[in-house]
Amino acid sequence: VRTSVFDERFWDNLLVICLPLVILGLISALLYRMGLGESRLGSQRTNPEESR
Amino acid sequence: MIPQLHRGALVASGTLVGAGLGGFVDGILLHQILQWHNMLSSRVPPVTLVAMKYNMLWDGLFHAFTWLMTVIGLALLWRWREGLRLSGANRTLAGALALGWGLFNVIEGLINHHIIEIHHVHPGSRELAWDVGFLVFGAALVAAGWHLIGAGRRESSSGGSVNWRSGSAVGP
Repeated sequence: VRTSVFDERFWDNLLVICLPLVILGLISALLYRMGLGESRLGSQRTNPEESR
Repeated sequence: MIPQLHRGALVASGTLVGAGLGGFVDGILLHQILQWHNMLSSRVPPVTLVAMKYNMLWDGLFHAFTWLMTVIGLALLWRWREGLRLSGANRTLAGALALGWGLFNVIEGLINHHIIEIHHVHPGSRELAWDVGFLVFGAALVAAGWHLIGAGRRESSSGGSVNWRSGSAVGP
């Protein structure tokens, strides 16, 4: 453990491991934003009160 | 207060959970059971006990971050759990899980296997074939997930019985 933590490449390794996961988080946030428009369409179609 | 429901919430949380579970498949199956590679096995080949312990620590940190991503995805899914009652929600969530797993394979594969090369899927004379296969499998999962999400959207727009905005059932 000491060898790993005090390795001169520790922060480099940490960045490499985290980078794909951070990108996945950003894509997830993007997908959240993309879904906002669909919800409004869906609510109008499926709510009988609004379709009358 | 119930948060506003929309498909994006389900897709986003499902993608995070799918990516986390995909990371666990990689870590548990390829790192631990098959022992094909470790997180940094191209930088520090696990040929001595110290090198193995070094890689084990980085595998552990990888699993810790993967666990964190899964927990965040589950927390968001719990927050938007009313969305699971929406028509087409099952397909949407299944698609998001597949999308997340596939995205994990594609992004992790491109960065870690091809660009930075901290490890390969199955080091050896045919490592490129294994790395490309890993990407192809991920891309297939992305395509399948995207297709399922689209099917869920079509199902909801062709006569869903649940109000998108409130999540409450409408009609008979």
